[in-house]
Parts: sequence; structure tokens; C-alpha cells
Amino acid sequence: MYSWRKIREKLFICIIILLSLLAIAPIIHLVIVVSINGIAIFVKAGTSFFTGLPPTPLSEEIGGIAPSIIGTLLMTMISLSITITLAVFAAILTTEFPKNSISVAIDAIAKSLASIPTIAVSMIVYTLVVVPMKGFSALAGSVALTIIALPYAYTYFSMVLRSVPAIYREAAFSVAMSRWSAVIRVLIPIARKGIAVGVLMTMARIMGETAALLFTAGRFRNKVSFSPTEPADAIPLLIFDYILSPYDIWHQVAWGATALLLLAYIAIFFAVKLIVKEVKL
Amino acid sequence: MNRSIVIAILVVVAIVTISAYYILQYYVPQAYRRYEESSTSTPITTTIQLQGIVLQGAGATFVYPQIAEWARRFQSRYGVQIDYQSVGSGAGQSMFFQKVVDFACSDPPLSRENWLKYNGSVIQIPWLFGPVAIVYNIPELPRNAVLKLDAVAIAKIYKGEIVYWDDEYIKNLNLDIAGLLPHKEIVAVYRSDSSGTTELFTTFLYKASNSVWTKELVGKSISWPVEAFGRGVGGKGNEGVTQNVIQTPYSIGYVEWSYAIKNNLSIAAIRNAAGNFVLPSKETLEEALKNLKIPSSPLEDFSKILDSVIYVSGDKSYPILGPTHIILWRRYDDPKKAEALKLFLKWVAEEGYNYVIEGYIAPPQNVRELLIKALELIAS
Amino acid sequence: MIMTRKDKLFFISLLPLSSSLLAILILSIATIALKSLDSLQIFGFNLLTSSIWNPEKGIYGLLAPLIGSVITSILAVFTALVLSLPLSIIIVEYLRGIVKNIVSSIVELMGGMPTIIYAVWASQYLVPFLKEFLMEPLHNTFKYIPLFSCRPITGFSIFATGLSIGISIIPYVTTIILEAYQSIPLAYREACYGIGATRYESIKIMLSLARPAIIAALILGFARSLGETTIAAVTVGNSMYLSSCLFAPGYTVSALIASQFANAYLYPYAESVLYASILFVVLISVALSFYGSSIIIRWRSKIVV
Repeated sequence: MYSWRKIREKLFICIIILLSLLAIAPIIHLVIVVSINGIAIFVKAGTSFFTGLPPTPLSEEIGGIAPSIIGTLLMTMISLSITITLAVFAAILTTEFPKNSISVAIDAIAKSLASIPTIAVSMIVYTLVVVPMKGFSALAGSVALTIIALPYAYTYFSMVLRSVPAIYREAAFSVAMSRWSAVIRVLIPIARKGIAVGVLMTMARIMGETAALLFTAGRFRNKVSFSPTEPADAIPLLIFDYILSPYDIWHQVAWGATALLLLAYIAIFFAVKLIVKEVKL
Repeated sequence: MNRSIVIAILVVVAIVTISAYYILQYYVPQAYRRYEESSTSTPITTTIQLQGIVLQGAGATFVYPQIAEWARRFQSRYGVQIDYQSVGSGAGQSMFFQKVVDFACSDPPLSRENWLKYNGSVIQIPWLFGPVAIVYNIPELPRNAVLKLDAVAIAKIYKGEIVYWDDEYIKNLNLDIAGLLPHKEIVAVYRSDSSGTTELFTTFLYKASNSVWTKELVGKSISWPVEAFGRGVGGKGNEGVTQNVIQTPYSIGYVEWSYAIKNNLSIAAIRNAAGNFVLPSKETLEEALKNLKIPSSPLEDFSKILDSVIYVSGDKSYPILGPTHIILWRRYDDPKKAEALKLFLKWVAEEGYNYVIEGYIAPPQNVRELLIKALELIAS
Repeated sequence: MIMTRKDKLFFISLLPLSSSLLAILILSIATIALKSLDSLQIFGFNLLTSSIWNPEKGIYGLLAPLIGSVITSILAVFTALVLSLPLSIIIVEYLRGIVKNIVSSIVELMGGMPTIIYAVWASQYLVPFLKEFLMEPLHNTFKYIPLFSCRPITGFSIFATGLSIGISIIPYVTTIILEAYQSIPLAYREACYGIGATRYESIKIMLSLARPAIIAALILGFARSLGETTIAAVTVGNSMYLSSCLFAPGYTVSALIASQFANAYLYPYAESVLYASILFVVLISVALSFYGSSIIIRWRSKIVV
């Protein structure tokens, strides 16, 4: 019996190491491919990659992706604030009142929202926002992104809040804190690392979403625009358009943009992770 | 202690964001102006009131690179910006009729029903043409060998009736390289998504194959008979077909010419109506467009145009090509937009056609006259 | 649950923002339903029984895309489960310090990669690799099983799509499992080791504590795979042919929309049929989510932490 358990233990370790390597290999490969293709472009283009305009098919120089960067930033900020607010409140609701039928409904709804094909979200937002506004806009793009990001943000936050052991909530009530105080002063601070990671992952998802912007944002690449009611562009949209074209210079711009996105994530991720400290239970 | 750190960080982030906002707003237009100044030497020569106008367009992916090129030149010349979205001809038309965009570019012209519905209020011009290239991947053939095919052979391949590359029919068309053709199954690649390129391809097969390819197999999205035999592959978009042909040996496919050129694919020579085998090139395409018959006014119905462009007469004419149309309203509420559109059409007719990029072909003189006629019609 | 007045106030204060989730879903479904009404009236259930896309003649049947969506999602969730569970276990149990930080950060980062990049990478690297090293060997050795009976010509198939989507949801599932696992209180781990369990056995026990979160992540992953557009459009092979073989090209609903929506306006009912396909997919997913959520809630009430 004893040796069989040992064998099982060793076997287990071997299997999970194998499977983890299998899991992480595609990810590493993808990062390598993006870096090789993208960093070279970066270096070639220099700082004008951040401030210039995208090239036309016939041009020789790489230009830049400034309109897309600004568009992505703008839409991400609008969409992230709405998504996080809605998701956090919904997560608090379902954690505090788990058996209520509204909570069950919200839980199921969040999952169902995720199954609408992303391109369909774009079609719906087109019908609901773009047509009445008679034009594409960063606002329509943000609405579409919010709809897509909500399920993930909600699921993540609800899981994070749920994993705070009940003992802390009981302790808060035992010193006569109101429910709101218990949530804001006890629950959320304990879960703050998880919430920070949740915000990061939602932000990454929003910044990288492509299909939602196809019929909503407008692909406006000729000028940098800061207004939410005017057409805008986004980095994933640019990548989508350019990488499916036959022109090599556009392929290069697309890979450069991908590398830029990846570097941006790395910077923001590490910054936030360093600042927010984990609470050990 | 913790809280004050958090507040401090938030304040710093806010300051950084706001200052970045102002810096970018100032710095980026500078960079952009520098860019446009370096790309052309002609000064901005139009009335100041038109600068800053944005024209919105949407439609076929086919015309997007050309419009990107034209838009950039037009913008540096006149300060009017053109924003184009390649969402597809159908979606482009839909957005146009919903007045979300100012003009649409569509590979197929307005259908007869649609044209009847909007008769008198819409203008369409077939302002650009592009050929469809038949590409193939046969490793045994040397780089400089040119495979010759005709519509009957291609039709039979896509119907599943010709199975191997060394079929008698193909050998008879290619007597010089008949010995090199391998005994391998042909993999037929087609467009899985709805596409004007498919429509051009199938219309050509229908017109030129002597009833091997029937009328019901013509369209933007059809069920391909070869699929049932397991030798057909659908690719999404021109890039999908291109990739499939590159990655699959012994395959044949049809793509827009620009994709064939840019990806170094082997292009087949196709037999035209005069019996000669031609490759797509500037001369063979201009020859095909020489006798283009189009209605005399942009207000008329263009739905029969494909007939007069595909498989036309002419010794050197390339048989598979098609138009893409620009669709505009006759009246616009905004007078500045109407002015800007008129200016754009005029510029395209006079100068734009000097900057046609690889894969496209400028239309003949009668189309340019149509453009001029169109801009006289636009009013506000 | 008996709520005091303060509880009720708390509940009501949370309600407006939370019910906006409900409002969004209702609005979306209403739009979809309205737009698909035409085609449902005309074609009715014929859409579910056949598999044709012929807009020129006006014949539509959605069976292949619907089945394709479900099967690719099942494959994707299976792949994600098999690959992310070991990954999370390794990260939590066996890695320490900076290596652990780096690995988990890489995994979280990949969650934000634009799906178009996954799609391009999958179509250029993953699918040829799968075709040579997985699909062809499987086909050659297991030819008699109908699942593997067709020869993969290009590799683009339901199988390839399922695996590609699975790989793209690994980051999200891994991160959730990581969080859930890490927040199991130390007391349980100490208890396991206290009675002399091996690493393997204690991991098994702790995973069962994290099970609700894992199931929630998987259900979300399933929903996400149903809705995944760019990857599916590029790797699924785009064929309306319904075959029992996993290696044959197929279709998913999102790939269908991505391919056909561009020109759908040019035909009278094409757009409406596409909206109807979305409706069917959403209905399947809603049913599954409700069922899954009720299971999770039942489990959660059993586990008192």
C-alpha cells in the first residue's frame, strides 16, 4: 500500500508536469512569434510608431498607429469604468444574497451574455446605437466592449469575493458594522489582490477585443480623435484589417501593433501587481 | 498609511493622464502635419471651409487599399478626410441606405429591385475594375512554366468531374508540359464566405464553359459540387484561399489579382473568347475594357454590367474581371459634404487614376466621363 | 432568508446597477428576436433540420453550424480543462518566488491577446502542426472509428477549431482556478498533511473545495467558445457539410456570421436567418447556464468555509 501511494505520487507529478508544459508551450510559442515579428518593426519605425499615421499600401515607411492607440485608450477607459462598476455591484449582490432568485438570475445571465457571438454583439450595438446616432463612434465601440467584458468581470469578481472566508464577515457583524461597511471595509480590502487582477484581466480583454468593434467603432485612421462621439479606431481593429490584406507593409504594421499591445500589458500588469499587496489568509 | 499611498498614486496617475492628453493633442497633429508635408509638395489649394470635413464610406474589401491610397493623397491635397470601412458590399449598402455613411462601395451594382426602389435618388459608377486570377500549386512544374486552362477544364474541376492533374483534357491544353503533370488529385479551393470574387468566377464559368457550368451555380455564395467528393476546401476571404493554395500541394484556387502578385502564386493563363490563352496584365485588362458598354447616365440601372465585362471579345483581352461601384445620393442635406464629394470625384477622374495600385485597373474613358456627369448631378 | 430593514435597504441599493446586467441581456435578446422573426415565420423549424446555405435560391438550413458550435465548444472546454488544471496545480504547489510570479503573469497576460492574433497564429502554425502530428496519425491508426474516418486535407476542421479555442481560453480558466485554489484557507491544507496525505491526495481534496469555481470557469469557457468568432472563422474550414468525422471541415454559428454577414443585406432573408442562428445559440447557452448555475449554488451551500 505504501509503495503504491508513492508510485501514484510520482506518476501524478510526471503527468501534470507534462500537461503543464503542453499547456504553456503554445503560449510561449505565441509570445515568441509576436516578439520576433513585432519587435523588429518597432525598432525600424522608432518613436514615430506612436505618433504617426498608418501607411498606405504603396508607401515605403512604416508610419505609425497613433489614431489606434488613442482610440484604444479612450474606449478602454470608458468601457472599463462602466464594466468594473456594474460587475462589482453585481458580484456584491450575488455574494451577499446567494439564495435570492435575482442572484441566481444574474449569475445565469452573465454566462449567457458571454455566449452571444462577439460579432453579433457588434451587430446589435450597431442597430441600437450606431443607427440612431447616424454614425460610428467610440461610444458605440465602448458599449459593445462593455457587453462583452461584463460576464468575465462578473464571474471573476464573484469568485474573488466568495473566497473570502465567512469568518471575516461574521467578525465584522459582531462589532456592529452595517452591511455596506462590512463590504467596503472588510471584504474588499481582503480580496484586493484578486480584484486588482480581475480589473487587469478585464482591461486586457477589452484592449484586445476585435469582433465587437467591427460594425461600431468606425475605423477612422486618418486623424487622432479624442471625442467619444466621433468615429475612432482601435489597435485590434487595425491588426484585423491589415493582417488580412495582401500588402507586406501592412502586415509589418500589424505585427508591430501586436508587439506594442503585448508590451503595454506587461508594463501595466507588473506595475499594478507590485503596488497591490496580497493578503494571506 | 496605506490609504495615503493609494491616494498619492491615484493623484499621480491622474496628473500623468491629463498631461499626456494635452501633450498628445498638441504633439500628434504636429507630427501628422510634418508627415503630410513630406509626402507631397503641392500646397493645399481649396477653399478653407472644406478643410476638416470627413466623408464616411463603407463597403467592399476589394477597394479598400486603393481608397486608402487615394484618401491619403486627397487629404494632403485638399484637407478633406475620407474614412472607409471594409465591412463587405452588402453591409456597406445597408449602412448607406440607413444614412450611417455618406457613400458606399459595392462590388455588385444595386440589384434591380433596389434600384427601382430608389430610382432617381441614387447615383452609381463602376469606378474601378479588378481581375480574378486562377492560381495553382503544382510542385513538379518549374517556376517559369505557365499552366493553360480554359473554362471547361476549370468548370469540370470544380464540379468534381476532372480528378487528376494529368487528365487528358488538361494535357491537351498543355502539350508542352504535359509530361510534367503529376497523377495527383486536384484540391479545389473556393471562397467559403459570400464574395463578389466568387460571383465573377462563376459568371465566367457559366458564360464560357458551354453549359458545363449551369446558371444555378452562379452567385456570391454557392454549394460547390466538388465538396461532395471530399476534394474541395473553403477558405475565408482572399487571404484564406491564398493560404490554402500555398499550404496545400496540387491545389487550384481563384483570388483577386493583388493577392496572387503579392504572395508570388503561380497564375494560370486562361483561354479568352478569341481562343488565346492570356495572363492578367495591364494590357490584357485594358483590352478587355476597351469595348465596355455601360448606361449613359449614372442614374440608370447597372445590374447587367457583368455581362459586358466578362469573357468579352478581343484578341488579348483577359476574360475574368469585374467592376466595383461607388454609390452616392443625389441630394445631401449637408452642402459641405456634397461639395467635398464632388471634389473627390473630380480629383479621382483627373488625377486619381494616375495612382492605381497593383492589382487594380483604371476604367476606360467612358467611365471617366460618367464620373464627371455624376458630380454635376450631386446637389444639396 | 429573513431580511431586516437594513438588509432590505442594502439589497435595494445594489439593485439598480445589478439589474442593468439583466436589462442589457433582455435588450440584446429582444433585438435578436425581432430581427430573426421574419425568417422564423417563413422557414420555421426547417432551419433546424437541414444544412444548406443558398441565398441565391433562398434555401437555408442551420444544422451544421449549430452542431459545429456545440461540438467545438465541448472540445474547447475539454482541452482547457485538461491543460489548465495541471498548470494551475504546478503554479500553486510546486513553483516558488519569482518563477511563480513570472509564470502566472505570463498566463494572465495571454488572456488579453487579441483573438485575431490567436487566429493568425493558429492558422499558420497550430493547424499544420496538428495536422501532421495529431490528426494524420489518429486517422491512420483509428480509421475504423467514424470520428476519425476522413482524411484531413488542410487540417482546418472542427477538431482544429476546438483545440485552438481551447488554447485561447486556457489563460482565463487557469487564472480563475489559481485564485480559487489560493484562497482555500491554510487550515484545510494543514489538516490534509496532518493526517499524512501525500501531495497528490491533498491536492485532490483541495480541488474538490475549489470545484464550484472551476465549474463556473468552465461554463463561462463553454459560453465563450460558443461566441468565439475570429478564431473559428479562420480555422473551421467553413463547410456546410454535416459529417460525423472530427477532421472534416465544418461550420460554427459565429464563423457563419463572420463569413456571410457582409453580403447578407443583398438577399431578402439572409440577415434574418443569421439572427435566428444567434438566437438558437443563445437559447442553448441560457439553458446550460441556468442548469450549471443551479448545480453550483447547490454545491456552494454544501461547502461551508
